[in-house]
Amino acid sequence: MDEIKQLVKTNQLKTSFLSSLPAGSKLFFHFDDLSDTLMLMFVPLETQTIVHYLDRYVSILYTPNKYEIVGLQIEDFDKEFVPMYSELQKEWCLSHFGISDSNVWDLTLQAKEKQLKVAMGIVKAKEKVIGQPAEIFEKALEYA
Amino acid sequence: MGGYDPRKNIFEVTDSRGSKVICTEETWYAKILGARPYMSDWIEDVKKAIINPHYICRDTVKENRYVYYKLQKHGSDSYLKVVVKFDYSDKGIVITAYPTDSGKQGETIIWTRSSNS
Repeated sequence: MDEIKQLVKTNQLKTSFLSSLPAGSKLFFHFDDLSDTLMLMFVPLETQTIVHYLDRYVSILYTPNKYEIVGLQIEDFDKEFVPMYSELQKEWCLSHFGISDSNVWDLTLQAKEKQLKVAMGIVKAKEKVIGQPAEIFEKALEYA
Repeated sequence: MGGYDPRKNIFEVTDSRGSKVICTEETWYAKILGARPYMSDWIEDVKKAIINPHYICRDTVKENRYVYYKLQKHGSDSYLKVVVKFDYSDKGIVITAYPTDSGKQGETIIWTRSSNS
Protein backbone atom coordinates (compact mmCIF):
# COMPACT_ATOMS: atom_id res chain seq x y z
CA MET A 1 0.00 0.00 0.00
CA ASP A 2 1.17 3.57 -0.71
CA GLU A 3 2.44 5.98 1.90
CA ILE A 4 1.01 9.43 2.33
CA LYS A 5 3.66 11.75 0.93
CA GLN A 6 4.97 14.28 3.44
CA LEU A 7 4.58 17.68 1.79
CA VAL A 8 6.73 19.74 4.15
CA LYS A 9 9.81 18.62 6.10
CA THR A 10 10.40 19.71 9.69
CA ASN A 11 13.60 21.57 8.74
CA GLN A 12 11.61 23.79 6.37
CA LEU A 13 9.68 25.26 9.29
CA LYS A 14 10.85 28.60 10.68
CA THR A 15 11.09 30.00 14.18
CA SER A 16 11.56 33.71 13.37
CA PHE A 17 8.02 34.58 14.47
CA LEU A 18 8.35 32.73 17.80
CA SER A 19 11.81 34.20 18.45
CA SER A 20 10.60 37.75 17.90
CA LEU A 21 7.48 37.56 20.07
CA PRO A 22 7.33 40.55 22.42
CA ALA A 23 7.04 40.01 26.19
CA GLY A 24 3.43 39.57 27.25
CA SER A 25 2.31 37.98 23.98
CA LYS A 26 -1.02 36.27 24.35
CA LEU A 27 -1.25 32.47 24.32
CA PHE A 28 -4.44 31.22 22.67
CA PHE A 29 -5.55 28.01 24.34
CA HIS A 30 -8.28 25.82 22.83
CA PHE A 31 -9.43 22.37 23.98
CA ASP A 32 -11.95 20.32 21.99
CA ASP A 33 -13.39 17.50 24.09
CA LEU A 34 -14.95 15.67 21.12
CA SER A 35 -11.66 15.08 19.32
CA ASP A 36 -9.67 15.34 22.60
CA THR A 37 -7.35 17.88 21.01
CA LEU A 38 -5.53 20.79 22.61
CA MET A 39 -4.24 23.72 20.58
CA LEU A 40 -1.73 26.27 21.93
CA MET A 41 -0.98 29.17 19.65
CA PHE A 42 0.63 32.59 19.75
CA VAL A 43 -1.76 33.79 17.04
CA PRO A 44 -5.57 33.96 17.17
CA LEU A 45 -7.53 30.88 16.12
CA GLU A 46 -8.67 32.80 13.02
CA THR A 47 -5.16 32.46 11.60
CA GLN A 48 -4.91 29.60 9.13
CA THR A 49 -2.44 26.97 10.25
CA ILE A 50 -1.26 23.58 9.00
CA VAL A 51 -0.65 20.61 11.28
CA HIS A 52 2.84 19.09 11.01
CA TYR A 53 3.04 15.81 12.93
CA LEU A 54 6.07 15.10 15.08
CA ASP A 55 4.70 11.91 16.64
CA ARG A 56 1.37 10.27 17.41
CA TYR A 57 0.43 13.02 19.88
CA VAL A 58 2.35 16.20 19.18
CA SER A 59 2.33 18.38 16.10
CA ILE A 60 3.57 21.82 15.21
CA LEU A 61 1.13 24.41 13.86
CA TYR A 62 2.60 26.64 11.17
CA THR A 63 1.33 29.28 8.75
CA PRO A 64 0.89 28.00 5.19
CA ASN A 65 2.63 30.78 3.29
CA LYS A 66 5.64 31.61 5.41
CA TYR A 67 6.05 28.25 7.19
CA GLU A 68 6.38 30.10 10.50
CA ILE A 69 5.79 28.01 13.61
CA VAL A 70 3.00 29.60 15.66
CA GLY A 71 1.87 26.86 18.04
CA LEU A 72 1.41 23.24 19.02
CA GLN A 73 -1.42 20.74 18.76
CA ILE A 74 -1.71 17.70 21.03
CA GLU A 75 -4.10 14.90 20.13
CA ASP A 76 -5.63 12.34 22.50
CA PHE A 77 -4.66 14.92 25.06
CA ASP A 78 -6.89 14.30 28.08
CA LYS A 79 -7.33 10.52 27.70
CA GLU A 80 -3.80 9.43 26.73
CA PHE A 81 -1.21 12.22 26.74
CA VAL A 82 -1.80 13.80 30.15
CA PRO A 83 -1.84 10.47 32.08
CA MET A 84 1.68 9.76 30.76
CA TYR A 85 3.16 12.80 32.55
CA SER A 86 2.56 13.18 36.26
CA GLU A 87 3.66 16.84 36.39
CA LEU A 88 1.27 17.73 33.63
CA GLN A 89 -1.50 15.77 35.30
CA LYS A 90 -1.26 18.06 38.32
CA GLU A 91 -1.73 21.16 36.21
CA TRP A 92 -4.38 19.80 33.91
CA CYS A 93 -7.73 19.68 35.56
CA LEU A 94 -10.59 20.82 33.42
CA SER A 95 -12.74 21.67 36.42
CA HIS A 96 -10.24 24.32 37.48
CA PHE A 97 -10.76 26.09 34.18
CA GLY A 98 -14.44 26.60 34.90
CA ILE A 99 -16.09 29.29 36.97
CA SER A 100 -16.39 28.35 40.60
CA ASP A 101 -15.69 31.67 42.22
CA SER A 102 -17.31 35.07 42.17
CA ASN A 103 -14.08 36.97 41.57
CA VAL A 104 -13.91 36.81 37.78
CA TRP A 105 -10.68 38.81 37.56
CA ASP A 106 -8.83 36.39 39.85
CA LEU A 107 -10.28 33.48 37.91
CA THR A 108 -9.08 34.91 34.61
CA LEU A 109 -5.60 35.30 36.04
CA GLN A 110 -5.71 31.81 37.54
CA ALA A 111 -6.87 30.31 34.26
CA LYS A 112 -4.14 32.09 32.31
CA GLU A 113 -1.50 30.98 34.80
CA LYS A 114 -2.73 27.40 34.58
CA GLN A 115 -2.80 27.45 30.80
CA LEU A 116 0.80 28.66 30.73
CA LYS A 117 1.83 25.93 33.16
CA VAL A 118 0.09 23.29 31.06
CA ALA A 119 1.74 24.66 27.92
CA MET A 120 5.15 24.67 29.58
CA GLY A 121 4.53 21.13 30.88
CA ILE A 122 3.79 19.91 27.36
CA VAL A 123 6.88 21.54 25.86
CA LYS A 124 9.11 20.15 28.63
CA ALA A 125 7.59 16.67 28.32
CA LYS A 126 8.18 16.63 24.57
CA GLU A 127 11.43 18.64 24.35
CA LYS A 128 13.23 15.92 22.40
CA VAL A 129 10.40 15.43 19.91
CA ILE A 130 9.88 19.16 19.34
CA GLY A 131 13.63 19.67 18.93
CA GLN A 132 15.21 23.11 18.56
CA PRO A 133 11.90 25.05 18.58
CA ALA A 134 11.22 23.70 22.12
CA GLU A 135 13.71 26.14 23.64
CA ILE A 136 12.13 29.04 21.75
CA PHE A 137 8.66 27.93 22.85
CA GLU A 138 9.82 27.84 26.46
CA LYS A 139 11.21 31.38 26.24
CA ALA A 140 8.00 32.64 24.61
CA LEU A 141 5.92 30.99 27.34
CA GLU A 142 8.11 32.42 30.12
CA TYR A 143 7.37 35.93 28.89
CA ALA A 144 3.73 35.36 27.87
CA MET B 1 -22.84 30.70 14.32
CA GLY B 2 -24.92 30.88 17.51
CA GLY B 3 -28.23 29.66 16.04
CA TYR B 4 -27.43 26.06 15.16
CA ASP B 5 -29.52 23.05 16.06
CA PRO B 6 -27.26 20.47 17.74
CA ARG B 7 -29.59 17.62 16.67
CA LYS B 8 -29.50 18.51 13.00
CA ASN B 9 -27.01 17.26 10.45
CA ILE B 10 -25.28 19.90 8.40
CA PHE B 11 -24.53 17.27 5.76
CA GLU B 12 -24.84 13.60 4.98
CA VAL B 13 -22.67 12.08 2.26
CA THR B 14 -21.57 8.67 1.03
CA ASP B 15 -17.84 7.99 1.17
CA SER B 16 -15.75 6.43 -1.58
CA ARG B 17 -16.35 2.95 -0.08
CA GLY B 18 -20.14 3.35 0.04
CA SER B 19 -20.53 4.15 3.76
CA LYS B 20 -22.80 6.94 5.00
CA VAL B 21 -21.06 9.77 6.87
CA ILE B 22 -22.83 12.58 8.69
CA CYS B 23 -21.65 15.81 10.28
CA THR B 24 -23.84 17.47 12.89
CA GLU B 25 -24.33 21.22 13.07
CA GLU B 26 -22.87 21.13 16.57
CA THR B 27 -19.66 19.47 15.37
CA TRP B 28 -19.33 21.84 12.44
CA TYR B 29 -20.05 25.10 14.26
CA ALA B 30 -18.93 24.45 17.84
CA LYS B 31 -16.06 22.01 17.31
CA ILE B 32 -14.55 22.46 13.87
CA LEU B 33 -15.16 26.20 13.43
CA GLY B 34 -14.70 26.72 17.18
CA ALA B 35 -11.09 25.60 16.75
CA ARG B 36 -10.55 26.91 13.22
CA PRO B 37 -12.89 29.79 12.30
CA TYR B 38 -11.02 30.25 8.99
CA MET B 39 -12.64 27.01 7.75
CA SER B 40 -16.09 28.63 7.61
CA ASP B 41 -16.24 28.35 3.82
CA TRP B 42 -14.60 24.92 3.66
CA ILE B 43 -17.73 22.81 4.10
CA GLU B 44 -17.77 21.69 0.46
CA ASP B 45 -14.08 20.80 0.75
CA VAL B 46 -14.81 18.65 3.80
CA LYS B 47 -17.63 16.87 1.96
CA LYS B 48 -15.38 16.31 -1.07
CA ALA B 49 -12.63 14.91 1.16
CA ILE B 50 -15.07 12.21 2.33
CA ILE B 51 -16.70 11.54 -1.04
CA ASN B 52 -13.53 11.56 -3.12
CA PRO B 53 -10.42 11.35 -0.90
CA HIS B 54 -6.89 10.53 -2.02
CA TYR B 55 -6.40 8.23 0.97
CA ILE B 56 -8.46 6.63 3.70
CA CYS B 57 -6.56 5.45 6.78
CA ARG B 58 -7.56 3.49 9.82
CA ASP B 59 -6.33 4.43 13.28
CA THR B 60 -4.42 1.41 14.56
CA VAL B 61 -5.41 2.07 18.17
CA LYS B 62 -8.96 3.38 17.79
CA GLU B 63 -10.13 0.88 15.23
CA ASN B 64 -13.53 2.51 14.64
CA ARG B 65 -11.83 5.75 13.51
CA TYR B 66 -11.22 6.34 9.84
CA VAL B 67 -9.29 9.27 8.50
CA TYR B 68 -9.84 10.79 5.06
CA TYR B 69 -7.09 12.76 3.34
CA LYS B 70 -7.58 14.92 0.26
CA LEU B 71 -4.92 17.08 -1.34
CA GLN B 72 -5.95 20.72 -1.51
CA LYS B 73 -4.60 24.19 -2.08
CA HIS B 74 -5.60 26.75 0.55
CA GLY B 75 -2.59 29.05 0.80
CA SER B 76 -0.17 26.22 0.01
CA ASP B 77 -0.41 22.50 -0.69
CA SER B 78 -1.78 20.47 2.17
CA TYR B 79 -4.13 17.60 2.87
CA LEU B 80 -7.55 18.27 4.26
CA LYS B 81 -7.87 15.63 6.97
CA VAL B 82 -11.31 14.53 8.16
CA VAL B 83 -11.60 12.19 11.15
CA VAL B 84 -14.73 10.02 11.19
CA LYS B 85 -15.91 7.66 13.91
CA PHE B 86 -17.97 4.67 12.74
CA ASP B 87 -20.57 2.81 14.76
CA TYR B 88 -21.58 -0.83 14.39
CA SER B 89 -24.17 0.00 11.72
CA ASP B 90 -21.36 1.32 9.50
CA LYS B 91 -22.54 4.91 9.80
CA GLY B 92 -19.82 7.47 10.32
CA ILE B 93 -19.88 10.71 12.28
CA VAL B 94 -17.37 13.48 11.61
CA ILE B 95 -15.33 14.30 14.72
CA THR B 96 -12.91 16.89 13.41
CA ALA B 97 -11.29 18.26 10.26
CA TYR B 98 -8.17 20.34 9.62
CA PRO B 99 -5.32 20.85 7.16
CA THR B 100 -2.13 18.84 7.60
CA ASP B 101 0.99 18.18 5.55
CA SER B 102 1.31 14.43 6.14
CA GLY B 103 -0.27 11.30 7.54
CA LYS B 104 0.05 10.52 11.23
CA GLN B 105 2.07 7.83 12.97
CA GLY B 106 -0.28 5.00 13.94
CA GLU B 107 -2.52 5.26 10.90
CA THR B 108 -2.64 2.55 8.23
CA ILE B 109 -3.77 3.27 4.69
CA ILE B 110 -6.71 1.04 3.79
CA TRP B 111 -7.88 2.71 0.59
CA THR B 112 -6.22 4.88 -2.04
CA ARG B 113 -7.75 6.67 -4.99
CA SER B 114 -4.99 5.44 -7.31
CA SER B 115 -5.75 1.77 -6.60
CA ASN B 116 -9.52 2.25 -6.89
CA SER B 117 -9.83 4.37 -10.03
